[in-house]
Amino acid sequence: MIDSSFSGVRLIEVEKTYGEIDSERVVALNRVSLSFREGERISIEGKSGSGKSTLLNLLGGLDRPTSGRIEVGDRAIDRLKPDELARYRLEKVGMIFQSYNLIPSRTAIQNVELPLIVAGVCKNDRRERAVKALEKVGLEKRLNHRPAQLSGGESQRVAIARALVNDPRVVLADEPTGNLDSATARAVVEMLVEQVAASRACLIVVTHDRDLARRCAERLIRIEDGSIIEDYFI
Amino acid sequence: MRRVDLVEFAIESMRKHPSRSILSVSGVVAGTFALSLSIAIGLGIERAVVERFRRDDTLRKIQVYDNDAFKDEDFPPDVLKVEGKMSEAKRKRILKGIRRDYSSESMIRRHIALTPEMLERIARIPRVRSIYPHTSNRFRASLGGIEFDVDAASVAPGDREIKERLVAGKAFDTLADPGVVVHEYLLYRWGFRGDDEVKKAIGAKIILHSKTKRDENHFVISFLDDLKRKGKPLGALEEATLYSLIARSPSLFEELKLTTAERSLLKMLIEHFTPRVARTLEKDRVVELTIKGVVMEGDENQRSSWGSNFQASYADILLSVGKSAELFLQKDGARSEGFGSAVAIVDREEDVEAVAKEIEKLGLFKFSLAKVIEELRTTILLIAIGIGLIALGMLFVACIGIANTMIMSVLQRTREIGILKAVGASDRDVRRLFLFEGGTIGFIGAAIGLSLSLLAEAPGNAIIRMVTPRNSDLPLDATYFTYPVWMLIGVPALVTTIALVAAYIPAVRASRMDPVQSLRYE
Ligand SMILES: Nc1ncnc2c1ncn2[C@@H]1O[C@H](COP(=O)(O)OP(=O)(O)OP(=O)(O)O)[C@@H](O)[C@H]1O
Ligand SMILES: [Mg+2]
Repeated sequence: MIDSSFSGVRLIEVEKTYGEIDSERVVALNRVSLSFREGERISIEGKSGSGKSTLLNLLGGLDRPTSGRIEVGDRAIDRLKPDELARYRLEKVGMIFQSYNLIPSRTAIQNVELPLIVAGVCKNDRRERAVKALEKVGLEKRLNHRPAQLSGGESQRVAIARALVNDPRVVLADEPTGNLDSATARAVVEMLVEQVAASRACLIVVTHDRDLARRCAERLIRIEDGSIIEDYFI
Repeated sequence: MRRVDLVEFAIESMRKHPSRSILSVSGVVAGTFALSLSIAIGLGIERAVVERFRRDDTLRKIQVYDNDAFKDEDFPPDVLKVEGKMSEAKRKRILKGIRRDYSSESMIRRHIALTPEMLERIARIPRVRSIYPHTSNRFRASLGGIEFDVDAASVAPGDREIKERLVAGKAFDTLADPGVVVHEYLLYRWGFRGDDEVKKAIGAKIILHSKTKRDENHFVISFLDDLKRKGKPLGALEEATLYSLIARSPSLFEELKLTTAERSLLKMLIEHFTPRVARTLEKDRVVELTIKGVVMEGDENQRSSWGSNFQASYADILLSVGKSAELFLQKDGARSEGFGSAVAIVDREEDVEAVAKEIEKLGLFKFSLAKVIEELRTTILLIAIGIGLIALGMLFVACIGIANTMIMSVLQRTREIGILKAVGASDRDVRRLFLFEGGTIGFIGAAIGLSLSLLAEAPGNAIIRMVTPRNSDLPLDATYFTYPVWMLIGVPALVTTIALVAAYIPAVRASRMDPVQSLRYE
């Protein structure tokens, strides 16, 4: 699944506006141009409503830009047909959310298996891979627990395992520690960085926490009102 | 996504909301149950009816009757004149009356008779396997010197009703069986009273006289009875004198001083009022037959089976169709008058219509059960279709239930849909997920409904047997349910398809959900 031709991510003049009528129009992203190298770790910060999640959703193929171009590897994902975009999400992207987004009725391992089920991996293989992914985040003893039986940190580790089980090229984390206390947050982020580093994927983390940002990223981007106002290497 | 996983998702989703799932499955169960039961009963009863008639040759039999319609050429032209202004329909009705009226006075014969020659012509029609006439005769039968007038009727070999009535001996094996089967009451009158005596009667010989007591005495007997009623009975000597007077009357007329015209008129007059006196002059033919079997009184409520001689149910003696016809034809004029009815048996049921048409072309009346059965079958099937339509209506309602369940499910699982899309599920995957859920509800419901309808066979048969009258012709041992393979496959397929259709719109709706919005949904 590793794309040998993968050479980072490029955003060219990406604009995202919401609302059809002029009076309700919100410019969430304003002609953003950025590029990330393969294996680069970026932290994004900005005030609430500045467009961080919008940027991540575009990169994750959950949404499309109003205009502009997004290239991931050799693919222009803004041009992809819906099916191809789904395939892109499946094969290249791993997403982690503040609210974990685990399916409550499924156990930890079943949640981690989700991308593999969608990919059509057979039962034995996907079980093996899911167990491995959970072992890597230290949850080998929690395989059959449901989200309600897991702590916040454990839940987010399950989510990380799920995001990484398909060996993605881009890992997107939208305030992954927002619901966690600082100690747990640090542990989770360290775990995330460790995992991503091993696979040489591109990691983009949205966080308000400067300290955390320094721990996980080598590059820091600040957004305000949909525009990049700061972009530097730590 | 692989199908197994889609099914697993569907079952998991149903397990998550057990009461909702049970309700929507129940609707499908009820609809499927009603649908498969209506098909099973419709086909089952239809088959039972057809089989009941197929047990014997019933469906391959054509009843043939002589045609007693008149031909206009047989009437003097001035007779068939209708006067006055009237509609054509009324003219026809009046003409019918005139023909009937005139023919009874002037002895115009029925036009097309079932003569032995006619039977031969029918026998030559392709695909007619056999034809035999049904005849009834009156004889004077004697056994051990005791004489009774008896009614005789013909019976075909294999006649079910006769076999059922048999108390001793055997029924006829062949069309021209030379034996005779007698009624137990006749045997009783002959003195064979106890059950053992009845058995002893088998093999005994009876003598049949073509001339009955009645033929000889009819006019005289009614005259004697009349006198008795009036209180002036004739003495034995007077009675003997009366008989000799009648016997001598033709020659007596010769001795009277009458003109030839008067004499012949007087003769005609006497003959007219005592037609049977003329028979007195006929020769008495005598035949000896061996008793082969004994039958009990027929059940009046039991319809005689199709193609059999209805007179057989009360006749004193029964003869094979061949023997009966042989004796019938010995009567004066019988050859030209022909038989009253005959039964033609064709090779296969499908040939009945074509052969019946040929028989009709010969100018005869015919009647076959094939058409009646066909109509009966159609009726049964129509009723089954009617019930089936109601069942389909139930299924439709059940599917509204499924659609409702699915819409709820889509709504409740909005976030899950978002998650699935975020991890890479395509619109198609999501659509299939919900289609499989609807299809699974449909399939499980169909499987349970169909199984229930299979289980309903035994109690259903018991109920049908309870409400079916005892003396019904329908077989009581058979099943009234038929489950053809096409139904066992087709009904679940149809129900699942309907469920898929019901799930389609919710499924499409789910697949079109915006993942970003869905993930935000609480
Ligand atoms: N579906 C939408 N329709 C209309 N406006 C939207 C929609 N989604 C986002 N927006 C607007 O776009 C802007 C950017 O939103 P976004 O969610 O990217 O902010 P954010 O930086 O992630 O904020 P937060 O830190 O609070 O999560 C906001 O002003 C928001 O109101
Ligand atoms: Mg946000």
